[in-house]
Amino acid sequence: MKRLSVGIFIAVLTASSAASATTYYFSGDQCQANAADVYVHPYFGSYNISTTNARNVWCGSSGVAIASGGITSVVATVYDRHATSGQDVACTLSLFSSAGGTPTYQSTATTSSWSYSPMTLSWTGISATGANFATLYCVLPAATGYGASHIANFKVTN
Amino acid sequence: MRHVLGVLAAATVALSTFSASATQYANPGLLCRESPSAYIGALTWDYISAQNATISDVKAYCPIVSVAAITKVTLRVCTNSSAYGFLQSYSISYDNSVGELLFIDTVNASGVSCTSLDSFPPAYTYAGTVEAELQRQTVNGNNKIVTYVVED
Repeated sequence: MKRLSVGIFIAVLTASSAASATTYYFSGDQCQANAADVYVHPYFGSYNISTTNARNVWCGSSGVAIASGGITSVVATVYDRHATSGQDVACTLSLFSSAGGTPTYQSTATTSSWSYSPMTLSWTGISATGANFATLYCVLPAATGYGASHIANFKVTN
Repeated sequence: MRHVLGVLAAATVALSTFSASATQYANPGLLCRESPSAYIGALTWDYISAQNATISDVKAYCPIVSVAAITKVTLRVCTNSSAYGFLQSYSISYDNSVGELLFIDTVNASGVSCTSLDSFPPAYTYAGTVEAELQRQTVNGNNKIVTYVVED
């Protein structure tokens, strides 16, 4: 009987303390833009429809429950429609503690070439103390004959 | 059998304590916008905050997201209002589950520094909006909302 009770106790402890990862999904259409010619599509994110200038967008996670292990990965889905080398989609991920201040983690990822297909910018294996929420600052190159570059969505796992 | 019952009781207490603990959701101020749908051009954003970089007063609206009933909202704001003697004003409106306005709390900040402002909604609060009246920029910098932490 004692073995049974110990077994139950261990099972309960395991169930209550196991750290399971949670992933939160965000549409790119909630990103902020620095100019009126960033077009927010109701389904597919934020587009730079300027044919002359790159534009910036700022995106933030909302409603991410603070977890003891902090944010461990962020993945953004973007479209790079500018064929010129160096005119790419570049996103800087910043992670912060709930008080804000200096980022506990910051890193930039860039697309390497244009494509009609979606591309992912990934930040994985993050280990940063107090990484409670995420922001993305993305530079979208000007629109071309291939279409308008845009950020479609991003996801945050903690 | 007594051992089993004792362990089950202890486990029940542990689980109920675990589930009753508050959850916090930290949000960047850059989620705040001037209007739900239109670009106006008065607010700017950096890696974390929304700020008023103009010489006019601007209102910023920040959506509050939670899973359960909201018990507390903490704003982290930076102000330079002492330059003109302004009092920065931040209002948090709280709705119930069907969108009826429950309560509006107004918290103020002044001086040249960053500070945290707490607001406690009534029971059965499930949604809300932070409205930040950001005074004009001064020589000391821009007034901004840095983060807002929601607790449920």
